[in-house]
This record gives sequence, C-alpha cells and structure tokens, in this order.
Amino acid sequence: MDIKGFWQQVTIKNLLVNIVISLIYILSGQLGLAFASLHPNVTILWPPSGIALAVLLMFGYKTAPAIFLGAFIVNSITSGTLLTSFGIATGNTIEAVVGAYLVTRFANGTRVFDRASDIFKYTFFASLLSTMISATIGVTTLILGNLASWNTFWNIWITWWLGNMGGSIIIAPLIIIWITTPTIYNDLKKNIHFIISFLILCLVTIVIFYGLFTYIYPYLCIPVAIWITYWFGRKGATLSTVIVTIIAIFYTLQGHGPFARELSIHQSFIFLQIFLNIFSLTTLIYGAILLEKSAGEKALALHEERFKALIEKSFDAIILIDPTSKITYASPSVKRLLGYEPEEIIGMTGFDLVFPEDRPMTMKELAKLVLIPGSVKTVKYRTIKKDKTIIWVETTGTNLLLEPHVNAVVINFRDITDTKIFEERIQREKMQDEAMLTSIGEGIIATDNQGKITMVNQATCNILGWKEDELLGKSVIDTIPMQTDTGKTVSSPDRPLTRVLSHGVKVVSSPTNYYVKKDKTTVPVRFTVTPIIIDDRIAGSIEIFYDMTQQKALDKAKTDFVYLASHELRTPMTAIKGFISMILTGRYGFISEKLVSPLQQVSTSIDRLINLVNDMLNLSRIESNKLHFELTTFNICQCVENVISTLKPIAMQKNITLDMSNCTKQHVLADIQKTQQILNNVIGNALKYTDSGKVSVTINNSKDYIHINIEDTGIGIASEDQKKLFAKFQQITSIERGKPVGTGLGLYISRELARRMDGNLILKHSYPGKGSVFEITLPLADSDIAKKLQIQLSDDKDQNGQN
Amino acid sequence: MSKILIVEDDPTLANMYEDEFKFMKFDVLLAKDGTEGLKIALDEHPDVILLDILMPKMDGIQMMKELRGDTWGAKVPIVILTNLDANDEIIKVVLVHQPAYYLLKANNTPTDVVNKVQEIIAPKTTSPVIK
Repeated sequence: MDIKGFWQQVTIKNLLVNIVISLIYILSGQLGLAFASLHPNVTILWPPSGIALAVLLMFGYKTAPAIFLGAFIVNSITSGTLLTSFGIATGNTIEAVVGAYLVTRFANGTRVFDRASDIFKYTFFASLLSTMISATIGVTTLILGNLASWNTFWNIWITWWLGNMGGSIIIAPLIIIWITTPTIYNDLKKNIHFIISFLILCLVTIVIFYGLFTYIYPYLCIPVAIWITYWFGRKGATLSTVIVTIIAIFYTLQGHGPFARELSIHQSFIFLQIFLNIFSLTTLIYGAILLEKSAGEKALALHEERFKALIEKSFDAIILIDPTSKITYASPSVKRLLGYEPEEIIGMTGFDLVFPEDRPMTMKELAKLVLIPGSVKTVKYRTIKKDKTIIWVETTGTNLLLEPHVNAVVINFRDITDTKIFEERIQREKMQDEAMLTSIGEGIIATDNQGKITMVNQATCNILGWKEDELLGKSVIDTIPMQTDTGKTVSSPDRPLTRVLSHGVKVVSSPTNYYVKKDKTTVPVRFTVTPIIIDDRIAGSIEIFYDMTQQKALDKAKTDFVYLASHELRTPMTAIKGFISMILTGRYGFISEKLVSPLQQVSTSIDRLINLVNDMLNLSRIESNKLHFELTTFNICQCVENVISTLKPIAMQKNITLDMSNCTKQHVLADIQKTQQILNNVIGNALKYTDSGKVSVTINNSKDYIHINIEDTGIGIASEDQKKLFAKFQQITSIERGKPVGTGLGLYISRELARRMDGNLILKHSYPGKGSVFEITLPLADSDIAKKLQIQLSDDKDQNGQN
Repeated sequence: MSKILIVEDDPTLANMYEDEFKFMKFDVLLAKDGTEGLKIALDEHPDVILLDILMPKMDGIQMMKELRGDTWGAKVPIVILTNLDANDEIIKVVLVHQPAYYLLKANNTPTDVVNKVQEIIAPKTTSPVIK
C-alpha cells in the first residue's frame, strides 16, 4: 500500500479511537460530577482521571488530544466558561501525561500492578504526585475565572486531589488489569465459587454501609476482598473494589453507613474516599504479591524441572553424598553404570562401592575435598558393580556442602574401564619399546628432515659419551663429527646423512669411518642411514650404528695371530724341508737307496704343510678384506706366457704338452700377482690331474672380458663332485686321483681372487676319463666395467686418504 | 772364496744354511741378531748378506737401513730371507733399501738359496725378484 493510504488508515483508526475515548471520558465525567458536593466542578470521585491514565498507559501519548477534548467538553457542559474549561482540561491532560510518563519510566508501565514494589511507585507518582498538578491548575483556573475564591483554595484543592487520586487508585487498575490479564472461564466450580464470593461481598458491604448495626467497622469487607483476591487474583480484587465503592457511595450519599455520621456530606466523602483508596491499594498489593509468589514458584518449578532433566538425562551418573560419604541422592544413570537402582544405593556409604584397595585413597581425597567449600577433585579408582564385577571409573567431586539448596558433595562419575585398558596397553607397549631400544647394543639416532636429532637410544649415549638431553634437538653433523681413518674430518656435504636427506637414498658406511665422541676421542663405527619417507616427502632419517672398536681389535688380533702363526709355523717347516733336501742331495754323506723314497715322501708332506700354511694365510686375508689389490693395466698374453714357461718343466717331466693359443696384445685391468697366482693354480691343477696328453690354454675376448680357457685331457671330475669343487677344504678323492695332494683351498682362493677383481673362475665342463675345461675371466682394460672399477678405486683412495 | 754373512736368529735354520753354504765352499759368517750382524758386516765386509727380518734386539729392516747408511754398506748385495709373508707394508719398506732378492725360507730349499746367491755374485739379473 502506498504511504498516503497508510496515513489515511492510521489517522482514521486514531480518530475513531480518540473519539471513543473522549466519549467514555465525558460519560464517566458526568457520572463523577454527580457527586460534586463541594463545588459543581469538583467531585470526590473523578473516574476520568483513572480512565485517562489507563488509556495513556495502554495506548500511548497520541491519545492525549482525546483526553483533552473529553475534559474540555465535560467541563464546559457542567459549568464555567470556555476558558476555565480549557484550563481545567489542560490540567487534567497534563496530569494524565505526566502520570503515564512517570509510571512508564519508573514503574514498568502497564505491568505496574504485577509487582508490589511497582505499585508503591505508582501510588507515589500517579496517585499522589501527578494528581497534584491537575488539582493545582484546576483550582487556580477556577479562582482566576472567578468561580472560586482564594480562601477556599485548600478545601477545593484537597477535594480535587482526592477525587483524582481515587480515579487513579480505583478506576485505572480495574481497566488496566481487566484488559491485560487473560482468564479462563470454563471451570464451572470456579465460576460458582466466584459468584458466591461476590454475593457475600455485596451482602457484607450492604450490611456495613446500610448501617444496620451502629458501630460496625467498614474494614470487615476487607477479609472478603482478600479471600476473593486469593482465589481470583487481581481481577477479583479490582472488581471487589468497584463494587464496594459503588455500594459505599450509594449508601453514604443517603446518609447511611459508618462514614455518614454527624459529618457533612463532603467530609463523609473525604473519609470514605480515603477508606476506599486504602481498600483498593491493599487488595492490589496483596494481589501483586500473590502474583510474584506464583511467578516465583513457577520459575522455581521450571528450574527444578530443568535440573531434574539435566541430572536424569546426563550420561554421567550423579550422586550426592554427605561428608561421611553417605549417599543422599542417586541419578537414574547409576543403574546403567553400576547396575543399582537409585533407590537401592541411597543411604549406603559411598565407600562401600569402592574397591577395597582403592578405599584409603578415596577416603583421603574426600576428606581433603570436604575441607574446602567449592573445591573440585577428580579421582580415578575401581568400583564394584551390583553384579560384583569391577570397573574403573573417573569421578569428579564438587564440594557444595555450603551451597544453599544443595548442601552435599556432588559426585559425577563415568566408566573409564576401556580407556584404562587402552592406556595400560599403550603404556606397556611404550615400555617394551623403550626396553628394546635401551637394550639394543647398537646406537639408534632418529632425525627430522633438517638433520636435527629427534630420538636417541641408550646405546648411542653410551657409545658417544653424551647424555640424551644434550643430543636432542642438536644437529647430527655438528654434534657428532665423522673422520676417516687418516684423522681427516668429513665435511657436511660429504656426510652420508646429507645424501640421505637430500636424495632419500639409503647409505651404508664404508669400513673405515670414525665418530668423534664427547671427549673428542674417536670410535670406529659402521652405520646404515635410512630415510623416513611419509607421503612421498623425506620426513627425517634413522641411523643405526655399531661400535666397531671390539671388532676392529678382534680383527687386528686375528690378523696379527695369523701373521705370526704362519711365521712361527714356517720356521720348523723350513728346517725340515731344508735338511731333508740336503740329506737327499748327499750333503751329509751317502744314503742307501731304500731311504730315498721315504725321505722324498717326508719332503712332499712338508711341502703340503707349507702350502697349507700359505693358503690359510691367504684365506685369512681374503676373508678379512686385508688383501690388497693393485689393479693395473697389463698385457694378459705376456702374463700367461710367463706362467706357462715356469710350469713347462713339470709338463716335460710328465710328458704332457703344454701350449697356448696365439695371443696378440690384450690388455686387462687386474692385479698382476694375483692373476699369476690364479693361472698357476689352475694350469698347475690341469697338469697335476693329467697323466698323459695335453694341456692347452686359449685366450679370446667378449665385449667386456677376456676369457682364458684351460683345457686338459686329464681324469676329469664326476658330476656329483663338481658341486664341491670350489668349496673350502673339499678334496675330491677317487681311486684314479689317488690321495689328495692339495690343501683343498686352491680353487676357492683362486675364485675369490678372480671375483674380487670383477672377474670369475668357473668349471666349464668336465667328463670323467676325458678331461676338464676351466675358464678364467677378467675385465678388459677399456671396458665399462674397468672404467667403473677405476672410478671406485679413486673414490676409495680419496675417502681413505690414500694416494 | 766368497764370504757370506748369514743373519738369522733361529739356530736350527742358521746351522742348516751354514752347512749348505760351507758345502758349496763359501766362507760363512753368522750373526744372531741385527746388532751383531751390523757389527760383523762393517768389520768383515762380506760379499753377500743373507738377512732375516724378525729378530730380537734389532730387526732386519733396521739393520738394513743402518747398513745402507754406510758407504760400503750402501752397495753390498742383501738377500732378504724370511718367513714373513710378503704383504704390501713390508715390501714397501724393504724395497726402499734395495735388496737383491726377497726369498721366503719355506718355499726355498737351501740349495735354491745358494743358487740365488751365486746368481748375484755372478750377476745375470739386477732387479729384485720376489718368490
């Protein structure tokens, strides 16, 4: 709708309402002025002021014009000039407006009769104060308008004042309360009660004011009014007031009743007015108090409902106990938690529900809790359910002993058995892990992705001499320096950890690394560093390292032992070999034929022994990686030729042909001496196990390797024996072969040596009675493998500080 | 007659080599440790010295070092005769002082040793050979 239409609507509505108000005002005014006993314009009961106040309070200040209009018309109809009517009307309007303002501002407006305290304020502001305004303006107007004289000022003023007061105390509450309070009318019993009560009231009032008995107190209607107020509220109260007012005025006017004695009508009315005001106020205040009480009770009931709901629906079980732990209340959840109905445990001692072992602790805690009002304690203990099972509970106790309405210790508790079991398991596993980490002899260091230490185990601390808290958070590279065996410190970019954290690769240490301990001494270590990858990101690293001190010492001892033992073993063997040889060559004179053979066998045995010692020495070296390989590029053809020429005498002795294929320059990358050793061993074997025929050596090459084939026409090797061929200390015995002559280590050593040089030694094939073919492979000097070997060699040399 | 000094601490072996060399008509001098060996060498100026390595008081390497410091000693042919295996450390140290041969006692009969010595005296080869 458009604005113009809106305003039309509002104004029309307003207008109508205002007109109605004015009319009511006029009518009631006429009624009031019927009691104008002192002055035609002044009455002992002025209903309009009550109406005006009520209307202004309920409908707002916009109704003020209506009030003014009504007042103006009423007064002009009665008597006086237009001017005096105007003045009086102004006074009445201002009274209503000021009264309404003050009541709204200080006494809750239309809700003023809901509270006793507000009613007192209302009485002061509206009934006593603002009424003075209209009294003052009104009387002054009359005097100025020559309708009254100055010496009658106070008389008229008091009458005016009391009349308006009556309107506000008797009429206004009636209107406001009846309009704002809803009532239910369909209770028949109550309706009958209502009617009977009012009949009694009327009866009593009539009896009093008719003056049936000479000295009857008008206050007798008050008990009835109280009764009515109690049962029917403020509506009943205000209605009683009006009925009593009407009856009282009716009879007093006729000169009856306790107020109508030797006094003039005017004086009677004044006393009557005072009585009626007090009567009204009393019932109003009483009604307000009843209302407050009921509201209070409702609020309390609501709170109680809410409280009960909270307690009962709460998941935690709640009990209230006194300081001796006697249970005074138990919530329904107790059943779910403990299996008891709430009623079953009320009266029980709380401690009886606690597992015996935990009782002393709970008693102590309760004692402490009870000492400090308002304090709170949380305790965990075992409790016994109704079915005698035990559960773990966590309880929170609040000391509300001094709290009004509670006066108990409030305990709420929940079942934490599952949590407890879980916690204990976690704790146990944690301790297991810790025990494991502590007992592990290897050092374990975990870092974040910056190389800062996040975890170390006990062994790490023991090996390096640091305490755990001295290492946590520190950088591994700075706190644990690494050295090579020449004492050179490995710089940060060269540290394996750096490579692990930047590339996410696993790094295993080379054999000669040392860590610097807290006291600046070094410890030989072997370590493995592995990256921790989470979601494709490098999140840190784990390093496991071993203290190699003992192992190194052991190795050294072993080596030293082997070294010295071989020397010591060799000395007597040299003597035996030497002397036998000298005997056999006649240095000590003639020896008979018969002695030659046995002496030669002794000599052979000694040679065997010597070979065994040599082999064992080599073996020991191979196994402890002490063998040093001097890899150089050399002509393999030349090397083979040399070996063959040294073995030629043996071949000639047995009448075996020993030759090699045509071989032009072929360069390999290997250790010359070791290669000679291998060739000696294999070609020597071929000669050893061939009785007649030939041993031929052929050399050819593939892409990366040289292949040296040694073929013999010897006794061959049975297939089941072929498996044992390269094993340690395995000698193949057979009737043809006779007693084994070697040490059983030769082929094992030869193969190891070949393999260490990135080559190999294999049995290509062998047939008993036909012969065998062995093949030695070595890397060609310009092959990729050779190149890699050379790079590795130079790397190792750099790292080990070798030249 | 050629003069040979045999520096060897084991009496059995010393006897053995002495017998063989005497049989081969050598004039044999014996010493049982480096100190004695050094003294006799410098006093007697033998034509060849057979030197063991592991010896008490002064070992073979030390004696060789001292000997090579002497004008005559710098040139005398020395054959290292030992049962210590030829590993790299020893060889490097030994080769510095230029022995004529490095022989493993256990691998060579006394006759072999004599042959080698005779080669030196009537030289066919000058480079040291390790056997």
